[in-house]
Amino acid sequence: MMKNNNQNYDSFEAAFEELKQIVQNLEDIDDVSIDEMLKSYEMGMSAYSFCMEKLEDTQKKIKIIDSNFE
Amino acid sequence: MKLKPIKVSQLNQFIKKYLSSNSILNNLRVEGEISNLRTSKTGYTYFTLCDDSSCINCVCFYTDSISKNGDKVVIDGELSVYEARGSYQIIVKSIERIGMGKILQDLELLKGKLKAKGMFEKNKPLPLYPENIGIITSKTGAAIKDILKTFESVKANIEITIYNALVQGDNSKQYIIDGIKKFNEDNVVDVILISRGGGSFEDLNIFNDINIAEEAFKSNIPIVTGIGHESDRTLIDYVADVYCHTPTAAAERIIRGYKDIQTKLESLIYNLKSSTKNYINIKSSELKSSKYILRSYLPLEEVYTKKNQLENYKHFIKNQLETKLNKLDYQLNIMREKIINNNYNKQLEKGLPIVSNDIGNIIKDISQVNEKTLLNINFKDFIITARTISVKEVKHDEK
Repeated sequence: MMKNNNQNYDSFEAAFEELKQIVQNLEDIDDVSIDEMLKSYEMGMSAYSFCMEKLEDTQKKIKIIDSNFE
Repeated sequence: MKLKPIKVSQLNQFIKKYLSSNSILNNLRVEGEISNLRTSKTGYTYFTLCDDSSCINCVCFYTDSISKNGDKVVIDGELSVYEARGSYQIIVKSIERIGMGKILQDLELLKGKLKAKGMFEKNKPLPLYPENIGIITSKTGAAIKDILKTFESVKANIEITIYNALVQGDNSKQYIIDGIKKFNEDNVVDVILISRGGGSFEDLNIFNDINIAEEAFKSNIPIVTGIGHESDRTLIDYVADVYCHTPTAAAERIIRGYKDIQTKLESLIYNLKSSTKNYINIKSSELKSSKYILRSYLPLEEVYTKKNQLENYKHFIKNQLETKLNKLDYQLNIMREKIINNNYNKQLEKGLPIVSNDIGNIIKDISQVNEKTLLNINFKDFIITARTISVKEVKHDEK
């Protein structure tokens, strides 16, 4: 799992919220310049990657706790 | 010669006088069996005294509540004539029971005497947990075996002292008195058990002795009696602090405190065990429930949902980017077309034609035409439709 630019976010919720914002901004492609689009794309993917990693981490940890304490 | 007749009342008068003057008849002691016993409203008791072949009427000018039909008695009284009826009867001064009846009568008297003295009121409390028990009984009798068995049934540290006494015959009375005296002198035991197995009335009668009763009354140590069977009750039973029907019952009564404790302890332990088990079961269930509740707070569903959303967002962003790029590309192409068209228009203005095929493609390459191909020769203001006659390649020098 690549870890580029993942440290910008305080929490899963913050990253997720940012991703949601980006998605909203991109609703109408005509309003966005190509540079903005590219920037949004990069930030979006970064936020996505951060969130995905967090979620998968959580699932793994739950499994570990279960197996430790069952 | 006939006698001068007398009246009936004169005759009865004479009989009464004659009989009254007889000293024997005035001082009678008659033996017989009581029957037809009844008491009148006035409180006088009437009965008939009989032997095998003969009966006589009796009256007591008092209420006799002790006598019963069938009692064998000796009557003290005098004969009297009931003039009006011409009958005679014994006026009873006192009645004495004889045989068994006499013994019982004496016993009743003794009981009355002692009761009046307050000797039946002795009611010392027994020690709840006796440590030293004194027993007055025969060491070879049946009673002691039962008693010891009863004491053994209880898990307690009890000292037992047995005062071996004869419990039969007249000599036994002294043994019992000595036993009570000795236990009181030594003052070691906390309770005295006087006991004897079942027997006949005569056997048990020794316990009706007044000396024994008095010694029992004097005892500072509480006395429990367990003599004979269910229905026997002797004088000492009345005087004792606690009286039981049998030796076993007396022994049970003495160790009652220990038995109660034993039962209580067993019950407490059972309760403790089952309460603890219950508590553990309840807590165990609560724990299991807690585990499930805890787990239910895990955002497992949410994680899946969010994951899906993330994917959706990612695809959306990608799509939007792609769409934008495609759109720009498309716009770019349109511009290009426009530019190209602009060039062609300039050419037409100069008067030069642009040749296209029947579907409007501009002919630029030899591969687009052959013999017979229909061509459109586009001038600025008009179009010529022509058919190809021949096609020939033209080579240029490359400089």
